Amino acid sequence: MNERSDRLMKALGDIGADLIAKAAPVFPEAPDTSEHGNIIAVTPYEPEIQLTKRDIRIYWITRILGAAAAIAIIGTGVFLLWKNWDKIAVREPDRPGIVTTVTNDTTSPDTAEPDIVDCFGQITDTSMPLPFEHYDSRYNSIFHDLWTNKFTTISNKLLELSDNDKDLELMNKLSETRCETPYTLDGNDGIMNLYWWMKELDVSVDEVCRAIEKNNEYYRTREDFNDIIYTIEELAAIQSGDRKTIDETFASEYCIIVGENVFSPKWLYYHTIEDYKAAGIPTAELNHKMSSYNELGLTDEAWSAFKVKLSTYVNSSYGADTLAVNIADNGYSFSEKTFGIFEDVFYGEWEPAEGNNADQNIILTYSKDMFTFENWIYPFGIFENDEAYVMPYMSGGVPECLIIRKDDPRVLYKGWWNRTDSNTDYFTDTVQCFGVDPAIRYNRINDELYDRELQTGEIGVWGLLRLISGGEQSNIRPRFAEETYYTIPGGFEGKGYFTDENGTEWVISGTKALGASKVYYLGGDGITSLTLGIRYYEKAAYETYINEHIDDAAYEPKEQYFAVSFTVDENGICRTTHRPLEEVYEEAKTKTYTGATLDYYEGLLPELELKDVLRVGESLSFQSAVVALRAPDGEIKASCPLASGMVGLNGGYSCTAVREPLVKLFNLENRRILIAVGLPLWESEFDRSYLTSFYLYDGDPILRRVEADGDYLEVIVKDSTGISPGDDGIYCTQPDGLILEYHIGENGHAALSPSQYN
Amino acid sequence: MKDSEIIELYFARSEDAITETDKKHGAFCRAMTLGILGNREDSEECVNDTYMRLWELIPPQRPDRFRAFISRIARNIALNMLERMNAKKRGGRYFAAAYDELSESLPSSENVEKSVDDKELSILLDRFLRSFDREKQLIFLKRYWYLRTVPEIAAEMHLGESKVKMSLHRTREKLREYLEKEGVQI
Repeated sequence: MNERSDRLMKALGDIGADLIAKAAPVFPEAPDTSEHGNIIAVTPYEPEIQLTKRDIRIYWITRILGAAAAIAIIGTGVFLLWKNWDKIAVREPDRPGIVTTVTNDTTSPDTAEPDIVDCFGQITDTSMPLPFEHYDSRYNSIFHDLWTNKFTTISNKLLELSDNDKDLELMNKLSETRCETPYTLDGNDGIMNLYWWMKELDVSVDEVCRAIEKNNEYYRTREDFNDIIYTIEELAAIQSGDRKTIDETFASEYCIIVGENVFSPKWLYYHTIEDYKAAGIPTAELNHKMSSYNELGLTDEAWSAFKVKLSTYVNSSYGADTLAVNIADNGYSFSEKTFGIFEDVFYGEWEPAEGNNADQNIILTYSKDMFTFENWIYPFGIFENDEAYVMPYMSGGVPECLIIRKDDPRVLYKGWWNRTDSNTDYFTDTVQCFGVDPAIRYNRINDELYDRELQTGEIGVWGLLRLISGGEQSNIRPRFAEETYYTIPGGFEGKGYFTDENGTEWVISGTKALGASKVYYLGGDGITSLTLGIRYYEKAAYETYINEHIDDAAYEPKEQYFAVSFTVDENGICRTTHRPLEEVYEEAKTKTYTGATLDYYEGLLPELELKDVLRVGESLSFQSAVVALRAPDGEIKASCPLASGMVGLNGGYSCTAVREPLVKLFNLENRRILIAVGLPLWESEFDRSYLTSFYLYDGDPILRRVEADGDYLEVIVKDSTGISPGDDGIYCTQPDGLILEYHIGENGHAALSPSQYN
Repeated sequence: MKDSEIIELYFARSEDAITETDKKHGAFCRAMTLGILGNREDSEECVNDTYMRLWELIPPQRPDRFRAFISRIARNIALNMLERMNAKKRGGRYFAAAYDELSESLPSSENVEKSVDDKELSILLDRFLRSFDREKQLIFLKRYWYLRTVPEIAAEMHLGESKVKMSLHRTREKLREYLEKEGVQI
């Protein structure tokens, strides 16, 4: 397509010079001071004309004849005027609220707004700065446009259905008017649209739809014509003739529809809040659209001014059915009920309630997975008062919230929130949440609101234990150092290469540029046997990388993980074997243990050694790790740490759904389960350091918030700027490591343990 | 200075030819090429290359419409620069939009009867444009020859933007149908 377009563009360059000359535009004379697009009145270029004698002769003849004709016409006119003076009256213009023509200045429309009176009164907000520095067709069009492009262009195929003269007349009408009103489909505003065109030219809907379908057939065979093809829904909307349906189908996504009026961003920009009120602009919808208005390409100054105006309106609580819940906020994420309420209250499928706008008519499924850092959604916990549960969160920079009223827990409201008081550093202010009118409301599909079987809980993934520190393997190193020569985090030193059965040579990376090495524990007691999952690179590719691409961050040589088994025979000789990790991993996942008693740890978990860990897995609903391990007494025990997904400091929750798979796995009876605290599993890996952060849950919250006198709870997370409330900004980085310390008030505390806390 | 006098300077191989050309037509050229190339440095380079080319072509050529002649050269050089930079989509913001629009006029690859060379294609386009009334011609050429924006065209020609957009859309459609009818392969 590009080459062909090139040819066309270039071939156009060689058309007749007379055409080129005719179309020459007026450019500014001083381009150094103005960008292309700022047209300043200059002397237009006049091509030179060379007169011949014949030209001069014709000139004089026509001049004389013309003068004679003029005299005759004027004389006749005077005579007629004199005869009919009394019959002539001055007429008032027929059309009320006349709009003025766009002023005929040569400044770009977007750098100096003409004096325009809109059909419903003067443009009221003259305080707004110029929206754009330069013309940009994309930004300017989404600022102005009411409808999608296909709705505002009448193709030639449609033209064939109509009277061409009438069409031309309609086009010319467009030149005369330019309103800045809230637009309607009726075309009294200078903007063409298909609906108006059909009515004015009296073309039947059926004919139009047939013509469009024919066009569609053609355009489907071409590339890059998706914008022109009408969808079935769009054709149906046209066919219906229903204005509301047409508006909702074809209005620009940046516009707001109220009744039959469509309000563009430009209208909003140039009108006041009082105008918004008078027009009935819904606050909730405007709040929702606001986040997309940063795509308008406004200057910083213009966007700031616009945001302030919009926010002021949104915060003014217009709208009869606003649900406003004032929550006294004790801080984010530390409510002991956070997790449970989410599971029981917000979790589930919700269908749109009657009265929702079309774009809200989607089934929503809320699960804990949705509120994750990966999805750029950051929940701040769940709060409640006598009226409702509210979960505020940030979604892509937009402060949203979910609300369930206690008096009708089967209805989910989706709303927005604002902080109304930020006098303190650490979020002890008030959060005011706005529910919205029935336009954005959902009904719960599943009636079993509190059915705990809704919890997934099952262990979905058995992960690999990753070794990250050297201390744990100190007992292994001496055994294998001589034979293995691997350099692995944790101090292994050994051979960094091998050749597989296909003859392919593999090496371990010696450079950090390829990212951190990951070594996984797969099994073995670390004394006579050890199996580790280690990443290798194909040797040839690795050497190419080193020699040619080492500075190229995007280049990665082919890699593969292998399970490396070290075994020491009776003679003390260590042998290594390599198998693709996937094979071993699958085997490890299905391995079962029998003949042991499954119990759960009471009290702090001991510092575990490698040989103690049997299996690690992930609980889906709780996003936490499950560890099966062999206790010092030889028994197999399990631990299921829970995490909230953000901080990991939740109180406990029943681990019923986790217990059962473990029971099955170990072929044991169910026992009392203990809950511990940890951090969320990440990418199916399980960090060894998690094992040192398990604690007992005895039914009370592990951490209590210390209240009064502005005390706060701050959590410092290793290798992360933290999740500490009060950070400037509402975005939280991903928790990525062990909680090293926490603070209550001004006192720091090292590591978390119940004894210290209590 | 009149264009005819400037041309005489070229024939006399006087260096004032370039100076006078720049005085009279430089601003026009810069503005035009800026719209295609998107930055002043490239535009300046393009204009300088245009003058060099003029120096090579005149004599023996003696253009009737000097500005049109210069415009043509400047435009071709600008398009070639974009091609060399492989930067069609990164040219001036106006160019990219116009370029995309014009691609709608490309004929379908079905029903192709003949391939045409560039000269023949230009003749076809010329013939096509002349079949339209003046207003449609000007709108089309201002947009796709001179890369003017829709509001600029509307302001220059005292038309509504909606009308300009509609005219362009329909002309593009007509061009496509015309090329398809001619069985032309591009």
